[in-house]
Amino acid sequence: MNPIIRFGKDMDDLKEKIGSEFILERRTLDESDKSINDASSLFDAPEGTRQFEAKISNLDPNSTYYYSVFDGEKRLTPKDSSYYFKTHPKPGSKSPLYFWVVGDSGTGGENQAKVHTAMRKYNQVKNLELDMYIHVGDMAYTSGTDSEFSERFFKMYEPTLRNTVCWAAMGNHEGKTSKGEDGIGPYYDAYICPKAAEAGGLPSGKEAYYSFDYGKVHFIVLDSHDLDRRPTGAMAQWLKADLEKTKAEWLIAYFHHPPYTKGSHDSDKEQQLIEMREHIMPILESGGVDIVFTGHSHIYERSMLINGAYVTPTVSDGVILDDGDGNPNGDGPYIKSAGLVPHNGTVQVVAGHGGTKVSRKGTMPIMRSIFVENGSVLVSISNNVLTGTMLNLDGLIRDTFAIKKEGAVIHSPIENPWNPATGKKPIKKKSISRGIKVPPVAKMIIRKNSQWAYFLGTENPPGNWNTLAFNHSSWKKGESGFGFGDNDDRTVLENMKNKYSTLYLRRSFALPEGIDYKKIGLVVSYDDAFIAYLNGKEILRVGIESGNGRKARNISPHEAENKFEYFPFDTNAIKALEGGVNILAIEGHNHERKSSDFTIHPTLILKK
Amino acid sequence: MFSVLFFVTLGSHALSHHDTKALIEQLTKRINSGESTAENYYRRAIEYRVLGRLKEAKNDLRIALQRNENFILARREITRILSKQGQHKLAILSAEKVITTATTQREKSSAMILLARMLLNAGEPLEAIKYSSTAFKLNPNGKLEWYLLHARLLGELKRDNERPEILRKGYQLTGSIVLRNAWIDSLLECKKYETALPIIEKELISSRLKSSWKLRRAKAYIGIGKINDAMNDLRMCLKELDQRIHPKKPDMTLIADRGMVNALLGNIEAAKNDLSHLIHIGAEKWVTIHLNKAISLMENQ
Repeated sequence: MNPIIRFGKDMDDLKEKIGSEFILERRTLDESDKSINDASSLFDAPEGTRQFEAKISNLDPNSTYYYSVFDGEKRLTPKDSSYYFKTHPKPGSKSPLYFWVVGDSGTGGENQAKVHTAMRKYNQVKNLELDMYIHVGDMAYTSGTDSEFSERFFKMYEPTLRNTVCWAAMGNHEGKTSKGEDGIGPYYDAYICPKAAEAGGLPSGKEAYYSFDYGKVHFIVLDSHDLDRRPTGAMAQWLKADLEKTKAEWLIAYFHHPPYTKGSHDSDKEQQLIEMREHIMPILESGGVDIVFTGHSHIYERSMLINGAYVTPTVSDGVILDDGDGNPNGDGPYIKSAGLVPHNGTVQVVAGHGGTKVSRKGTMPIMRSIFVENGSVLVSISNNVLTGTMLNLDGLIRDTFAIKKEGAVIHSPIENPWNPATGKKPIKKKSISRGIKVPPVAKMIIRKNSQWAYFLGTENPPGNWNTLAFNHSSWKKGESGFGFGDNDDRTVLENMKNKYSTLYLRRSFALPEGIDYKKIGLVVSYDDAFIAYLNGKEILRVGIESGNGRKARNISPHEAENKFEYFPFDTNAIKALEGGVNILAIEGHNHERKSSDFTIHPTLILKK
Repeated sequence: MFSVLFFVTLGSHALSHHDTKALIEQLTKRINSGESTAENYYRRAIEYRVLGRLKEAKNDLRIALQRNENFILARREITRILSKQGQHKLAILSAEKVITTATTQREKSSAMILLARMLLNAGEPLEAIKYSSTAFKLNPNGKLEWYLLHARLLGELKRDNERPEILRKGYQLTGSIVLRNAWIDSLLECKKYETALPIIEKELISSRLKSSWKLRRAKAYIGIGKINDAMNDLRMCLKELDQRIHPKKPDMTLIADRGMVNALLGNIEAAKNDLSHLIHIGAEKWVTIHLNKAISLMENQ
């Protein structure tokens, strides 16, 4: 055999060629002659197997190359536009990324095939193309032998693998025949992992764990199966050094054994899972990890935004930073600081549902989305937003979540977070229909007697009056508070009584750098009621049962008495905040037109 | 330069992959229905170990070895369990049997390293280093972990001057950054500041998180008498570490770094707190020994 690879950027003109001088030929051990050293032998491939590994250098970054495989002059692969490979963009460069995440798939059965087909159909319909593919282990049941790899991985995924690189983490089933310490076995015959930092990151010296870059995204791959997982172990030491080095804007880690699961495995009881949580997660989170993908447990589980959940058993107290669903069309994406910031929140995804039988033992309290069915995860990263989608084997989207990075966000754990066992948030002990005592103030973001744009409620304002896009230059300007009666207003609305009962206010503000969003709140003196909006989203309603503007109903009377009340921002309000300029819009209501007084005097504070 | 590795290949009777408890049940059924092979006992032992049920794991491994005394995987596994349970003498005896069972050079050298580890765990570094040296003779390229072990043994035996050479060699052969960093640390311990400093400076420029490199530079600065510069580095180091360390659930390696920074800054009480914390969370002696030494040194100044 005379293997030759021809390749080029034009499918009809494969200009470049490499031959046997750059192609390593590997064969089964018993056949090896003296010219082939031990390391290049195949572990357990059937006699007569030839494996050829071609190293192609000097390729352009972020480029598509078409290729064809030849035996001398005989073309082995058809002339077909699906035979191509894409190089990664340069580390640090701005490039969108779209990839597929699969785990525990390698049965060679119907469900594995359906999961694969569902992904391909989805991409075809949406006109999307994978940039890469990550596998979190257990890709060749039952023992990761050469024949199992051939049938249950290469053959099964052939149309995808033809043009999409698969970056793999070893599972326990591959671990039955392959050993992380030596880098020997069918798994290490099937993959050539970048142990010398060929694709970015720091050299690990081991194929079992490594890192690589894709533009501004840094990927870390660990061996959770058969290597020392302690902080003093070589893998953890490499991890720490690699995290210290990367200057990426997104950090994604993946390995086989999940730190958090109650699927077919229980992370509170099994040693490898406990150690990944207790030893490895503190290192990853202190390095600013954004998302962790795992498998092993045959289920789909996706967490809320968490930090510091290292104790055994796992509890939700003190570790949930955002208990929303993370869905851009639901509670909104999880918000994190721009760049990589230690302990700023992680999303855990257990994707052990790629083909094998799924099951569930219980409910892991940090999880937000749990599905006991086969499927896979598609992830896109564009600028400052990462979006994950769980697609089931029938091609239905079961879960969508996003992480958005902007500004500087300081999170603190949520008390009484959403509970996945009940599917509800615990009932709040305190009602917030009235304000509370104003706390000590660290900084006034919008001061008392600040200038606001205002619009009298003699007519309705435009529908988008409370949004950032609305231009309020035609509105009147005045200093707060606004109202009449009681002699407590700076801008007096002399004609309000008996004429109109609503006043609309707008004011822009920018947040100081590095503040804790959870310390922001409105401090308002009001008579009788109001609704507050942040960048067009309602964030607070006080004394109004329903509706807004002229349709506001059941308005309760309330006397200002020259006093201010504090309304801390809740998760909804925090999510509505933007990194740059924000618009605070308020509609103040009198409970009836004939009322003898009206006051609305809003301020925005950062508490100590 | 960008490269692509291009890969072309030409070319049961199994347990289903359920959860660990189900797998144990399946194996138990097999064993009870006549398939009481060494292999099945070994496989069940591995699943018991996953659940932390070491007693049952050890029992199964013993049976596996009764059925096949040359079952090297079972022998290695029982050695590790014995050591984990603090039964060091038995672990050493078991590791010695692994050596006699081994048939290939690769298996023999690997067994030597296993025995060296068991001897180290038993507090016998002098005996241990004999075996790690023999392993290198049998397999001169060694493995990443072997170099770390051998360097540690040299440290335990206070042969610090020999550590840089073995770590440098390991780094050259494996390319592992862990060995490169351990080599730099060993240079600092041997007072070879001039060799270490240029590498540290380069790393400081290219790193996102700088505390471990600032700590290394501070050690070098102290060594060459640039005390003010060292103190500046240490203060910056402390600032970064406080941001990275989770206040309630800190990462052990960062606590060790902070303890050292505190000790060198003369914050002895803070350093002692970090040391107690490390001991409390079960840090190995190798993690605490340097911090302990630094605290004693500062207290005696």
